[in-house]
Amino acid sequence: VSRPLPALLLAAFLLCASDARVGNKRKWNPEKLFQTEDFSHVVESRSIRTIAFISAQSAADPEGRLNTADNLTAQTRKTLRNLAEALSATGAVPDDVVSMHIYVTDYQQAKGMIVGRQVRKMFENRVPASSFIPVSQLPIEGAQIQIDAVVEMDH
Amino acid sequence: MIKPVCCMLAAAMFCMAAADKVGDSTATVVHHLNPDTLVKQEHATQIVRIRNPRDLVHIAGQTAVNTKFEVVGSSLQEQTVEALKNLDFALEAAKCKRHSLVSLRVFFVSNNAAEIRTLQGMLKTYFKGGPLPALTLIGVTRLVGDGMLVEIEGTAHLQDARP
Repeated sequence: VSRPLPALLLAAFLLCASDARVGNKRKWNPEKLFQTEDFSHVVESRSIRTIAFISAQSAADPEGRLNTADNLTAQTRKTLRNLAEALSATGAVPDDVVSMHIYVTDYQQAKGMIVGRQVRKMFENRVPASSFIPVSQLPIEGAQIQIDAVVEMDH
Repeated sequence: MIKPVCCMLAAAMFCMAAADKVGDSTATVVHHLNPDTLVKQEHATQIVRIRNPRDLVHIAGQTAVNTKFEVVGSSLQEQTVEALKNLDFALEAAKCKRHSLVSLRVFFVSNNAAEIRTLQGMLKTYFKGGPLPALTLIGVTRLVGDGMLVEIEGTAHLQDARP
C-alpha cells in the first residue's frame, strides 16, 4: 500500500522535470527524443526583451587564481558559482539561461555525471539546452571545466 | 535655503532617472559588463547584454582557408590572422562591424600556454580598444580540415545599418 505513493511522486517529479514552464519559457524533452535530466532538448522562449551572452566561466576567483589542487567536483561548484554571479550581475536568474556549453578536459563518462548532478541542482531540474564538449585544452592552466551561456529575458 | 535646493536637485535627479527608465523600456542598448565578482580579462567582456535586441547575425566557424578551401599559414598565429580576415569578410557581408560582435567562440589546436596568450593578445588587438564580445576559448585535438589550427565563430548584433 505504501509503494504507489513514492512511485506517483517520482512520476510527477519526472513529468515536472521533463516539461518545465516558467515565465516566458518552456524547457522540455519531446517524447521522440531520448529522455535525460541533464539538459532539455528543446527550449522555447517567447517575448524576449533582453538577451545576454556570458563568457566562459571557470573556477578562477576574481583575481584570476585557480586552485589546481581542486578536483572536478570542486571546480564545477566554483564554475557554477561564477556563472551565478554573472547571471546576477545582468539581472537574470538560472531559469533565464536558454543554452549552455560545458567544456571538460580529459573526459570520461563518469565526469559527465559529476557535472550533471551539480548542474541539475543549480537549475532545480529546469535545465537549459546544453552541449557537453570534451576538449583537449582550456585557456587557464589547470582548468578542468568551463561553461558559457546564453540568457534570454522577457524584461 | 540650502535644504530646499538640495530637495529640488534630488527631485530633479529622481525625475531624470525615471525618464531614463522609461527611455530604456523601448530603446536598443548594448551593455558590456565586467562585474567585480568575476575575473577581469583584457581580451573579452564577461557579459554582453542587449536590451530590446534588433537583428542577430550568426557567423559559422571561420578558419584560415582561402576561397579554394586551402589552408593558409602553418602556425596558430599565422592562421589566426587569416581566420580573422575571413571573419571580417563575413561581417562585411552581413553589414556588421567588428564591434557588432557580441559573442565569439574560438577553437584552437595547441597546448602551448605562450601560444594561447598570443592568441588572446591578437583578439584584443583585433577589436582595437572597442567593445569586446563575450568569449570562449576551446582547445581541441583537431579541426575539420587537415592542418587547420584555429576556427572562430561569432554572433553579431546588427543595430544600426539595415540591408
